Amino acid sequence: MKRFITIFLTLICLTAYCCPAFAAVECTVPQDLPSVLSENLAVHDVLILGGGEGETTPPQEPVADVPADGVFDEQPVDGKYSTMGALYQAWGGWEGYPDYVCGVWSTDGGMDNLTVAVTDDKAGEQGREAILAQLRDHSSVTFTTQTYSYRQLQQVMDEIVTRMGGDSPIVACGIYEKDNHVHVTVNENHEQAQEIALELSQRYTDRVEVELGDLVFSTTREELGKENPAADLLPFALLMMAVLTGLLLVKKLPARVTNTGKVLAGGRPTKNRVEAAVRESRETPPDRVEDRIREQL
Amino acid sequence: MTDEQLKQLLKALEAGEQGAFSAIYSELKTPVFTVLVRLTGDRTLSEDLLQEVFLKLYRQPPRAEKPRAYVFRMARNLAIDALRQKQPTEPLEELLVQTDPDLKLDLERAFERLTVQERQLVALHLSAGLTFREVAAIVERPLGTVLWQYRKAIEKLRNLLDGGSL
Repeated sequence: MKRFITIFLTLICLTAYCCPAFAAVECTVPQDLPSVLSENLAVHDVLILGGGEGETTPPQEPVADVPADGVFDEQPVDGKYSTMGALYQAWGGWEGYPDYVCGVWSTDGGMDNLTVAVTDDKAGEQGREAILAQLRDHSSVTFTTQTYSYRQLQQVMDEIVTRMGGDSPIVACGIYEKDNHVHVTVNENHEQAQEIALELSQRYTDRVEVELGDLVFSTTREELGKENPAADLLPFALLMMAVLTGLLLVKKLPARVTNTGKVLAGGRPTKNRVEAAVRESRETPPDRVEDRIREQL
Repeated sequence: MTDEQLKQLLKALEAGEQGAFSAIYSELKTPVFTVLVRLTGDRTLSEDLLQEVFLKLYRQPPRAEKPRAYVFRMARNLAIDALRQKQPTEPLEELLVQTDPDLKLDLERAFERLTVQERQLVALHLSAGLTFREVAAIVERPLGTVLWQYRKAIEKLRNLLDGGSL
């Protein structure tokens, strides 16, 4: 009953104060806010390669001619690779993307036919030609264009990563290639959550999408440039959304704790959150191991 | 620590500098131990294996181009050999290991449901910080297969951490 009253009062408060604020939110983040609130956040996940969410079908034979030693590295013939999949492997995955590449994902769930996003500028056009010049089978690649190269997003992510750890409200971030942005998860329960979420969104504009509880938003460069007095209400709207979401979810969803005390909560964790949790979950050997080693040296 | 810095330390170790060993141990003990625990699910066994890794490093410092990957390859091979002794016939793709009950926090519970093949990909990439290309070389699988299996493993972890089944 107590909880019901709290929620009820919060709703009244929200309605009274935030109707203009929500209008402002819709005005400020018109495309993201309404849709993401009704969607499973996982739809934002970018897969390393492969098809859609929850897909369990393995790819068609990932490598056509696996050598006996099991280590695949197709050598180009006359400077050309058989398929886009082979060229992707020659790049070594995203770590070796050329500067004009924004992202790569599977076109059909397999490894051979890939969609490559290149930058929507001259460099991207030239890059597209350069890729085609390296392929024997042009049908194995589909091109699309995006705004930011993977390198640019990587740079943003690197900057954000330096602000993670310790008492930072930023708990995870990762590049979503299909969506061409860095997805940043901010701990909604942290006292600086709203402040950081807004700062990230405004500093990096649409290169970053911020996840704050169930609220996912980004700021376009155009929106940032506009004089929008209603934007002042955004922090309050965000705060209220976070409070409401917290009230509705906090007892419903069990928190999951890793061995570094990291808490994963709030529905199905995203790929990035799981990776961050695994990365941060460390096992420290007891001192006796070092003592035993030294005894034997 | 970069591969270049590690190379320098290994050279110093080869030249008999004791301080180099301490620096290497201090830098690598946690990621190597983490990979071992993730792979074996057994902390006591992992302590023995960690000891073995560093004794080997001390007695014969490697001259590898990528010494960090070399160290994790050694750790991984020792862990797989140890698991093989327990269950010699199961292929890695199907092999599951019992996790130490003390480790049974949610993440460890989830790891328990991964096969050894999946565990090693996740641990080598995320805990050891190796690139997928390095991981592929260590586990002797094609890069594409490694990427695919890694993705499946992460999907499994997501499902498991969401309270679901595989």
